[in-house]
Amino acid sequence: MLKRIIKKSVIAILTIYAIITISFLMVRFMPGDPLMHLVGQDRYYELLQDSPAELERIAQRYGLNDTLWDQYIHYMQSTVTLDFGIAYSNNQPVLDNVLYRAGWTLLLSVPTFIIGGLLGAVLGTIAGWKLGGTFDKVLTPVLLFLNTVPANCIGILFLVVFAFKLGWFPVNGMTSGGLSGLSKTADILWHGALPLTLLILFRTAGNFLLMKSNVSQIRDEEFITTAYSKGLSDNKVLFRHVVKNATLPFVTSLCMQLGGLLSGSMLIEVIFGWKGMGELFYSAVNTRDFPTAQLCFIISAVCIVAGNLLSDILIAAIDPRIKEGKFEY
Amino acid sequence: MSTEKMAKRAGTKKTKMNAAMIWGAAIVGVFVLVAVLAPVLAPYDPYKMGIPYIKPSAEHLLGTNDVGQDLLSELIYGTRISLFIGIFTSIIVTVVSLTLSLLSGYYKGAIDKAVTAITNITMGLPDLALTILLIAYLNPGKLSVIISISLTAWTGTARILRSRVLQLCEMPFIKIEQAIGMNDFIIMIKHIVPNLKDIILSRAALSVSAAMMTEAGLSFLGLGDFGAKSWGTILHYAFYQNGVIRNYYWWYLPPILCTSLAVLGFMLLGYYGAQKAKLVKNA
Amino acid sequence: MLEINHVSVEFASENRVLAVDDISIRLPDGSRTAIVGETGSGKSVLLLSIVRLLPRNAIVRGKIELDGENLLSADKKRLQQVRGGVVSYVPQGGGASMNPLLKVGYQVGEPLIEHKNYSRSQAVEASISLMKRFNLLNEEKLARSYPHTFSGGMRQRAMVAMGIAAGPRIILADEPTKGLDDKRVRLVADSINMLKEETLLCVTHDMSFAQAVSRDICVMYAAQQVEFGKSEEILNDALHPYTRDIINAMPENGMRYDDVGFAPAHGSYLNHSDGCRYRDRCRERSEKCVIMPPVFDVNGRKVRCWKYDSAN
Repeated sequence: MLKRIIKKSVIAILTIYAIITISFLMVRFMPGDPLMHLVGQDRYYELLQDSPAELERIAQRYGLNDTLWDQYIHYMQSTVTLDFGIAYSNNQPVLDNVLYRAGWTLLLSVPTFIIGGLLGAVLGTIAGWKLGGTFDKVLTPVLLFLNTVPANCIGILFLVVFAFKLGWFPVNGMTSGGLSGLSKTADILWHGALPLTLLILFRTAGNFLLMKSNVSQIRDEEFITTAYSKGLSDNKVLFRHVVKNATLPFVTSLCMQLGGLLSGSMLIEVIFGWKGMGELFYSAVNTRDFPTAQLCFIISAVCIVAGNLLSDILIAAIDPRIKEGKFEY
Repeated sequence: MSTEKMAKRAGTKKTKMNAAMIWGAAIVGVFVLVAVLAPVLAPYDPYKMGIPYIKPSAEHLLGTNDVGQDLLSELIYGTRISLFIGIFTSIIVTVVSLTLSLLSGYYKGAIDKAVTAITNITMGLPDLALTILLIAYLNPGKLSVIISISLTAWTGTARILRSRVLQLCEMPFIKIEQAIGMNDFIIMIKHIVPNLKDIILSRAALSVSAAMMTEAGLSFLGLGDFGAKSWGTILHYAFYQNGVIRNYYWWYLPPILCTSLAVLGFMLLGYYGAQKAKLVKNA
Repeated sequence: MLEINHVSVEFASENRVLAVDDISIRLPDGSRTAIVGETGSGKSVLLLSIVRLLPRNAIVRGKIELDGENLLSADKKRLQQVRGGVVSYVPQGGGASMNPLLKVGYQVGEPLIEHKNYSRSQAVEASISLMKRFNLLNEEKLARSYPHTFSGGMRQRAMVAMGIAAGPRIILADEPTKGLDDKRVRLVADSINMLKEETLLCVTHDMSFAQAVSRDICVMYAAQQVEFGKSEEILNDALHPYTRDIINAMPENGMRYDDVGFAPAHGSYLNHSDGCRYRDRCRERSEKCVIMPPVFDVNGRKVRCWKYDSAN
């Protein structure tokens, strides 16, 4: 098992390395002046106008006149030392900006992960166990639809109905400002209610379909007939022989969701003006603020890789076939 | 015979579409028809400007937008763009994943290891983020959108196809072909690919729906092809030019409905088709 | 006493299939009966219908009486008491017959938790002595292992141990030798022969195994019972042409079975108008065989073939 973890960790590190290299190559090989990609479009044109000398100095700093290899070494150095440059928008280190925004995103995505995970698992188990029953027949089309329809479509409908028409929730933003303590918390909750509800609905739908398919597959396994042949009741078969087996693949998916905590809510953040990391990434791309966009990308990617690694380790810890190294997924 | 097999034999179905698939096919059929007949169906040139913000009326069945373009015509022409991107992406995704899975499943060994490693690494990438970043770097346009979506979208199909190819290669009829020295390429085309038909079709339909969904998101964010008006682009303007805030429902509602319906159509075809191909159990 | 009385099983789906066609067998206490037939003859379905473990789309007609109590009309609660407690179904010990995520000791001892109020640890403890009865070797270690570490033969014997755990009176064994080599078939036969008190009903496709474990043999073909009698009588002097064909095909008889057009017996079996189902493969067929033969009584033995029509 240890061997497996080491192997998976090596693969994870290689993946992260590949991601960082890809983003290096992207800057150098995409159409346009790489210098523009490095400082961002607005700043590039501003500098081009005002002080080409400064631009030249920056080119020097990034070593754009060096060989590609030297540039690469330099790039890796600054990445490892977490030096991602200064944001044009507010003259703060890019890293600080992104981390601050990440906190706001987590405020939405952590509850989504927990509630959506639990709801999806429980509802999916019931529907899969009683496949074709009323519960399944009513819930599946609804959740399949939710899982299918693009987030921005339902997002806008929610916005129109609950914020504009009914006026129950604010249209935009995260706080009303000027509040503190408990009332501030309540205010943030009030602002976050709509995006959070939507995110939970989507997540529940995805998890529901997954868990339902797991449970209904296991229900038809031979060992379930074995379990019934011992005289177990339906509930005992479900809890002793189905739930654990169905949870196993579910855990993999949960870990991947964990990896997507920072990058999964971009559309919703944009629609509801929630200034999280997804919204930052979006506006960075829109204003061609490449350093910020790139860091957002790298951080999201690293999270996803970490989530996948975690799922590999957990699976190995739960499944005896893998633990003893006799079975590979 | 085990009971399970017995039950399966008892329940063997002829290749028949179930109700959900028929619905899916009907929805998709209508949209394809609209896309093909766009010049005939559209009452106006979608780019022609006029009086803005007209409510739905006899002249403009779905009203006009902020620069007075006829929304019905925009919507009809938008069908072309949205479907084109969805279907074209799906074709690329399917071809790429089929090729990779045939190579890795049939030849195994080093090729398989390499393909599996590439698949695993690609699966580890944040797809939407990478797509958006790529589009930011590339010049905006249909092709960039298609390439950026395809780049990460092939992994799921490739995985499923590979495991199926591996299974097929163990079957006697393939072994016999190999034993009599039949050309590898011919074995793949004549004997393996036909056996993958159901999976390929259902995965392709799912790919269309996923690609259309991504495209809808991208063009809604204003990251799509500016020149072309897809449904997502219409929604983008409705949202950013205050159509939503002022509740010009004729502006934002139709693209939402069209996108949802089209995505649903392909999804029904794919999801319930996959059930038929025994990829997922029952819905 | 278990009495299977005119039982038919039909699978209701788009194409209806009759998997068991009007079968009657009496199993007095302590009897040992083997049902022999090829894949698809409906023998496993018959076994599962006794403990009501068939898929939901199965319709069972007739009566299955356990000491006079019709199991087909028993409620869920009662069925749970019967399964494993009175009548035990021992599934085929294939790779999927045990839960891959639970230890074997627990799975073997689980009927005791259910029927004898054992605690988890007591059940695992008991599973060790149960497995010892069937000489699995290293039982303490096995009880703590997961099913994937077991060989096919070990798994099958563990399944038998599981079946008898809670002391049922009737054992229904489903293809206990499927996929096993000769040596392991003998081990399984020995294990089953250790069950002296219990009534045994064993389904198999293997005539020599049936001979080794049973006193009565019921031969099934295409959902029907074609012959029933004492094991040695059937082995020495089979009546039905099909029985003779499978006995000739046994390895010890040199597999003398030149196939008469091996048409697999697949069909829906919904009506009897097509005549004897073995007709196409039968080397002794006559014009009469276009009509479905009834079951004839030949000196206490039963056979479904026109050759034994006493009116002749």
